[in-house]
Amino acid sequence: MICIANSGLSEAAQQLDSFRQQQEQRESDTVTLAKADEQAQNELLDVLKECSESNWDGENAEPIEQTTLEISHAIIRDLPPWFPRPRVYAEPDGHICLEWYTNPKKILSVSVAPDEQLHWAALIGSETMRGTCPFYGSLPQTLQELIDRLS
Amino acid sequence: MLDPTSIPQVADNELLARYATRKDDVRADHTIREKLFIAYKHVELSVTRHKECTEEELWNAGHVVAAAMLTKATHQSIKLRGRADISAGACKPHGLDVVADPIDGNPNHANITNYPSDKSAQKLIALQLASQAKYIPLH
Repeated sequence: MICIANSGLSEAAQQLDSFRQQQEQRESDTVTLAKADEQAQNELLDVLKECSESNWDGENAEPIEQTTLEISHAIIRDLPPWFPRPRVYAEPDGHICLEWYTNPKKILSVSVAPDEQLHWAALIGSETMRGTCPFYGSLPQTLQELIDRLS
Repeated sequence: MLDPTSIPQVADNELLARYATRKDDVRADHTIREKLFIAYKHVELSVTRHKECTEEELWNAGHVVAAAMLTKATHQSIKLRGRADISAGACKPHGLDVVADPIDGNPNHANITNYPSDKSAQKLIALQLASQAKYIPLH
């Protein structure tokens, strides 16, 4: 392979350099996404390991059920590649929380319940929103739109 | 700490402490997650009033809370990591009350009560309270 240093002398050289930068950015984004995916899945595994028994928190927490784990996993797995990945943690009522956080004024928090309901609340700037919707195999459009607004 | 024989009502300008005992209670940027302000099962949220408390007494109360959880928890990742301080007055706009509830060993104990039963309503209130609270890490 011949490496051509960018001397900026020709349009072709500039185009090649631009292409190289775009390729590097794509590879970097892919690595970042893979790391974020891995982090989310690792946190889900932590929930499985630490919160599958009753009273896992010392204050009578409910155990996390298999259904809740499976729905959470499906949501994370099926997120569009350009969507940020959530942080994951268990809640004492047996729900799993998926949190998309950009800054203190941009947060979406979704609680996955074992009855396949998604309870959510969001702070986006001065707006506050909340709701409950069923999980029908993919993240509901309402929540996808909210995630979009967090970036 | 307060005199156990004479416990005043909680005033709006009082600070309340909510103890963080799990690593996921707080984000990496030291903002507080909503989970610290949701009252699961008990429908009331346990806090400690700062009123007439030294820093040492506040942290001691937190250590007692963490120790009690640790003796009963099935997983041993619980320890006192810090506290979230919030004013009592921040609770009222959300329809919550703060009620003095002295207990053995902690006359400054209080409860945040009157949470709604709907989960998404609880989450929204908790998100807002968490955004108003200040995290103080344990040194």
